[in-house]
Amino acid sequence: MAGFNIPHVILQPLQQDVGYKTDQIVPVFIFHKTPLALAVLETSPFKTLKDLIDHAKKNPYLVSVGGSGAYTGYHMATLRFEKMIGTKLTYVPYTGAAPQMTSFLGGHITAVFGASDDLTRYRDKIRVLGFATEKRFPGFPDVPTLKEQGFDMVEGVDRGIAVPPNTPASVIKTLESAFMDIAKRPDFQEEQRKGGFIPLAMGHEEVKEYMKKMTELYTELAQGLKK
Amino acid sequence: MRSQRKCDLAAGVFIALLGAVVILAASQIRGDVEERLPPRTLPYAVGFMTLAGGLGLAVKAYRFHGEDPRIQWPETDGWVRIGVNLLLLALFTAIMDPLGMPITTGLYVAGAIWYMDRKRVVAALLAGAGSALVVYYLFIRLLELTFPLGPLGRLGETVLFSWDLLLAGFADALTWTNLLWALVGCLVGTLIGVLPGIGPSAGIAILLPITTMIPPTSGIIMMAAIYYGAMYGGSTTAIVVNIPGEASSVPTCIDGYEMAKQGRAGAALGISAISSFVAGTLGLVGLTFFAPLLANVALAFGPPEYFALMFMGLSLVISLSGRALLKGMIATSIGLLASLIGQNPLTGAARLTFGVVDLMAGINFISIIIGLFAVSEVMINVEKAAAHIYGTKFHGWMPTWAEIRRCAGAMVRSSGIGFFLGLLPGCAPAVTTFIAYDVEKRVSKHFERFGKGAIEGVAAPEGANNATSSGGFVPLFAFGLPTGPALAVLLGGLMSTGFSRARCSSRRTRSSSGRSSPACISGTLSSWC
Amino acid sequence: MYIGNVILLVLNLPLVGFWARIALIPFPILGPLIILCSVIGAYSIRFMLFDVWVALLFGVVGYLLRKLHFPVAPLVLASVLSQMLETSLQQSLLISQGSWLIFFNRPIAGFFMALAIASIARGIWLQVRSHAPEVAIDDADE
Repeated sequence: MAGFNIPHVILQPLQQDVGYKTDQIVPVFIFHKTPLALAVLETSPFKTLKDLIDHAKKNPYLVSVGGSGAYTGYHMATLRFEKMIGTKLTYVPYTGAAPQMTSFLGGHITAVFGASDDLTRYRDKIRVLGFATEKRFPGFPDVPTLKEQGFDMVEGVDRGIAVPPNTPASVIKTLESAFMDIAKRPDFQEEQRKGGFIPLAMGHEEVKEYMKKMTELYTELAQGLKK
Repeated sequence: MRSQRKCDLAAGVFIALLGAVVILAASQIRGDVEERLPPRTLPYAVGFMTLAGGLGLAVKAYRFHGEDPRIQWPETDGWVRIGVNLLLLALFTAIMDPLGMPITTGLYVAGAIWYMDRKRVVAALLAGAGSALVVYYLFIRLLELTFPLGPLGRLGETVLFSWDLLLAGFADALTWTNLLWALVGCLVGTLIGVLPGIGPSAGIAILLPITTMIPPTSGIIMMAAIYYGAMYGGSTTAIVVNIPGEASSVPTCIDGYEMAKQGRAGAALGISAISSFVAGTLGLVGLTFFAPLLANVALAFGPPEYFALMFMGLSLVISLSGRALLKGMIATSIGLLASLIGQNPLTGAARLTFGVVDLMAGINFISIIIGLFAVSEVMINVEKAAAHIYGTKFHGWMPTWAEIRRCAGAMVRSSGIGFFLGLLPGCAPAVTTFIAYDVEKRVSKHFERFGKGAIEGVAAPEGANNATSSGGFVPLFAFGLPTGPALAVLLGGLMSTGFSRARCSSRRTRSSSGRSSPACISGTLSSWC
Repeated sequence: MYIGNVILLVLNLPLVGFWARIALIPFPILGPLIILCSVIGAYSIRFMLFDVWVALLFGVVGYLLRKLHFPVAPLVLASVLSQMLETSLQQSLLISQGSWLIFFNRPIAGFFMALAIASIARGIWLQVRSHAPEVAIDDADE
């Protein structure tokens, strides 16, 4: 049994030989979703999204955007954004969200595509330029979505639990109902919201459907991004 | 081959070949992320380094015409002993899965002891049975580590002895004493630390369920006691039997074990405890007064600084190899090679795995350390048919006052180094202990005593070890950022008792001047409890 | 936690005698027990038998290295550090757009690099200068 996240497990096998294929992961449950957003430090000279984009256009490659890992949601977001604004950025991968945020807070990279939970935690130190969601994120009501600013992009990381491919169905059922009980509790959901997550409670079958949809979506996106 | 020169030549050639193989394998790596990040770079670099080192050694040995020291290869019976022991060990590993851990343990221990000394049949049988029981009851039942059970798996819950009832009994009887929980925590923690491979983080994770059975404050104290106990247990085995409890105990092995061989294990253990204590105190002082200032320093460390730090650590260690610089470089490249196998941490591309799935996860450095130190030490003793590990009589339970005074400088220096490096997120404790040891070696007027049982060589890593944990609390309290897995687990434990990291970080931002913020004070107060 | 620190000192000092006695156990008994601990330890990292085989392999490697007078400490540190080393290297080069100067332009990084270069240089200097056996012999350990 292991934690997993989408789109990580979809994208990585697509792009290179990582030793597993997406359909080997049997999902049991998804706990929450964390939409991504582009943010800079509060002390940064870029006050709006437009400032950042203009700067990037004048200095291709100079703007560094942090994210955790390669071919993860963060990387994807950066690549898509790059394409939309028509300029190259530099994606700097880190080994996790914590190093990414520490480096960002220390001013070593210009901007991050951060997950909503990290951004919520450091909200006093950062300025969020745009959220990659359909509607405005409840935790940051005055931040416009990227869509509003002309960039139609929705990106997020969903996290949950998965089991290896040959797990018997009875085990999956047990696990699923256990997690469902926890996830449906209102106090648990409240905790999640406070932390900046969007609580979800997707069971085994639902997640499989969702993953199928996402795989199609990402395969298309990945094709579109190949140079 | 008795001659060092010839052996060096052979070794050099072998290593050069190894380097060539690596370079070839590196060219097979696919998958580039960006133009600037080709995942082949480091494997190529290490491959070349190995190749160059090997060639250099071979050439040097070939051209050498001087006094040729002898290598002490074992006699025939020594080889036989080593061979049989290795075979037994391999058998042990192979049978472990089907037959289950307890049974195989019993068989191996009994068999190995009987082989080593035909007369000790009774001892062999007792030890075999004893270890099988310990493995079963302690590790499988109490700690619930998933060792293979083999046929015993069918026994199920019908055991003679149930820990749950016993612990519940303790919980009821002892809820009135926090100190007692700290004691229990320390004992258990030390036991965990004694085992290589189960470090403080695993220890806390394993024992977390037990701590939930007792009141929260006691729980926090117990967790802290486990943490400290585990770190100390690691040094105990490092000194006494040359098995480092975890990576950070490795420098302790170097001088600590030498001291033990000279009969001064007591002194080594004593100075280890004293040094840890001093470092812990200094660390807490630093935490209380300097935390806000230092937290900003932690942020100033970005990727270039980390690289420079690691590079410095590595070059320090190599340059302290005395006159064996080339060999030090080769050793470094072997170490680098071993950790390159597996996935690239950033891109996830598979490297040097030759298509073997097991290698995808990479080689864990703890296995390397266990093998290098524990197993090879046993082999060396086996070859010599040693009756006891220590040749000399045991004398001196504690370090003398003179020795303690001598180590004072080491203790302070290592505390400083440990504390400072500990507050960098992601800096492994192993690094700090090595750097502290090396700095001490450089600073010392008696450079050559290190490695032969210099007591400062034990005080330094131990102090740094403890100070690193204190330093690790700085970003934890200031930003809610754990610097390593052990602290992350500790944080999880703390959070389950209601300690809020968001509260900490939000209060932190209100004091942008260097004054201690309320959160830091409350954080450190709870650490003084 | 400080109480934990104090308790550690108080508790462990008397225990020193007990721990040290372990070494007095005759080696034929102690040896297999140590190996047992090593196997348990190696296995308990990731609960994979593979790790135990690796430990066994490096036991042999370690034995050979010590016989041939190789220093073992750099190997250990290298295997611990390498992941961080590579990660930071890649990240730094990305940030600096491929320029290696980034390690020297910044004060803290530059300081450490200077120390590193100084210690390597000193090591090489000592090697070249000493007319001692040119065959690399390690006199620090064994």
